[in-house]
Amino acid sequence: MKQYFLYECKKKLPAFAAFTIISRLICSIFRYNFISITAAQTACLGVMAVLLPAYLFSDFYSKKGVDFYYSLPITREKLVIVKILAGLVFLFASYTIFFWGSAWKIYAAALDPHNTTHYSPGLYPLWLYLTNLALSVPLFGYSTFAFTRANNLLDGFVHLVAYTLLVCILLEFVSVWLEAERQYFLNTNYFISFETLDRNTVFWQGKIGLTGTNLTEYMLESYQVKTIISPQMIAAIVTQAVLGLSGLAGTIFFVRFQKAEDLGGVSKSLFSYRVLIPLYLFISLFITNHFYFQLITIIPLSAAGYLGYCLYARSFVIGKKNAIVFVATVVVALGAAYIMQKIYPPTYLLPDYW
Amino acid sequence: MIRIQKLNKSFPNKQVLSDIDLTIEDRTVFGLVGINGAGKSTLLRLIAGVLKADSGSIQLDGQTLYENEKAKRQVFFLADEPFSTPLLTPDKLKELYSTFYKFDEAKFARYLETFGLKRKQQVGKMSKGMKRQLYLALALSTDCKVFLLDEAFDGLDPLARLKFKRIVIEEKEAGKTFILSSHSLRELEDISDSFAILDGGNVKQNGNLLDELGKLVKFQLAFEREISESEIPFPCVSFKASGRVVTVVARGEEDALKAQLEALNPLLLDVLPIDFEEFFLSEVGTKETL
Repeated sequence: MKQYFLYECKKKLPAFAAFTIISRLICSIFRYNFISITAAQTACLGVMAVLLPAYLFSDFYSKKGVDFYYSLPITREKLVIVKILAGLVFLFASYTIFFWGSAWKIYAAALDPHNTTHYSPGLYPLWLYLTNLALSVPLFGYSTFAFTRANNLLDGFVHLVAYTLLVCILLEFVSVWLEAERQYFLNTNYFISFETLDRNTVFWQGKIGLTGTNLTEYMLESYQVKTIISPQMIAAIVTQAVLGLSGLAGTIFFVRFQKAEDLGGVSKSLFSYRVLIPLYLFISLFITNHFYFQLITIIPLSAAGYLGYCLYARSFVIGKKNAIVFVATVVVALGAAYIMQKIYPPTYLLPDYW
Repeated sequence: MIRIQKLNKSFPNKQVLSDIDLTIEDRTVFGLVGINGAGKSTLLRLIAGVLKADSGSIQLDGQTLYENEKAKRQVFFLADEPFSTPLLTPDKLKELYSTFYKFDEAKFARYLETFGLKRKQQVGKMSKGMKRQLYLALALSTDCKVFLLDEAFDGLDPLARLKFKRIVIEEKEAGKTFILSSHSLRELEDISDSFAILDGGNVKQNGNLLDELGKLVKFQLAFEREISESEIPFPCVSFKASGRVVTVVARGEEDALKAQLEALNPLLLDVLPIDFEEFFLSEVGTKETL
């Protein structure tokens, strides 16, 4: 196993070098702005953490690859563990190189006696580096789980996007739910405008970068942005950690149940479209209708859900079981939205508001 | 020795293998034959541990093979379509296999030379035959005891086939076991000691190749008039008539059958050697089914 791990690390060197150089070049664009540098670095780390599983596990989506790897004298659990460890080494080493490849300039500038415009960064970059590294593990963890629930490459990428968005929605929910004034069950503005996506320059930083930065800022109490460690932040970190570590554990655990003959076919795993379609249908219907019912959202979203089932079933006849789940999801989502309308009526619709 | 007992495997809506019982002795070349979809590749993938059986067992020297690192270290599987990635080279593959098996570097170099392959060549750019030769070189350079080769002769040119057969025979003499699946029955016949014919997911026939071939007799006869199968005085495994010339394959003692045919007063009666292909056709069906 150790030898195979070393082989995997060595095999990934060209891709590692390519990604590290590209990331370093992206970071060098923002050479005089520390905030932008860290944003770019975090973004590169996030992108790598999400896409790395696709690079590590894509060989398992072809018959040739499955025949090759599964016939080797190594158990499937160990095979997956080696791939995950090699991925983490890739992630950590690459980030370390491109982070410090830029960050050293901040220290150099601060130490320059003729330069009075730069403040001393203290330990801030180090904490940012460590917290971002720590928070990239969960992102890599649930991305790995998401990708490996698919039976083919295309579904793998769909899963990556679907799961990452789900985690964002969950984190947003956790954040908003823990706010002192829970006027909104979910802050729909975040979803409708996708403010989450561009809040911190790049989508990914919204989730790992911001959390990491805020945590670091709290630790050092030396940054201009006034931040306090909030229940939302702790909840977001705990949620990510739980999801990420469960993702890694789940990836290793479920590999024994994965049938080699299914690979290349329709993704029928419980964690695939069977759950993703109704979940997305529920979330989208609930969010868009929890103030008041809007036919303009119910009809297209339901149609999209049905279309999702058609793609999954590879037919316009989606089958009895799928049809029941589809109808039940619409009913439950609208029912839940109705309950929310009664419990938390939107203040601007109340008579007092006017 | 590989022992397969009551092996069953099904894919969604299809039973691929049913109650397979086979024993493959050490130091043999075992030919696995059958029409497309008969279950040959599935059986090899099951032995290799790629697929998990629904029920039944596959054991190598008493050890279950599936997810058993120790037992699998004795087995090398070469699928019908060898694996390759854009940057993969023979040297990199050698490095990978070296992490799992004891690898004989000198032997590998010798086989690469035999097959005319280069170490730094990209595997992805090789022809199917070259890839197969490369994987064969890799396989034979390991210390594995059993080699599972799916579509063993696929993509190999006549010269490569000759080299391949020679190597297989040499390695068998050195104590290795080969399980080869192929549609090239003539090639298999040259090197196989034993065989199994799979048909519709079942073992239709298996055993020692020479013994089983010896149970069939092939006659060529010429008559003064055209004759039909019903006139042959014993049940025919195969009957072909071309004008007044008839070819008959039947089971039984050669002398007894010959005596019965002589009673028909043929102008000519010859006993011809029967080959594996004819044997296979007689067991599975006609050429149209291939």
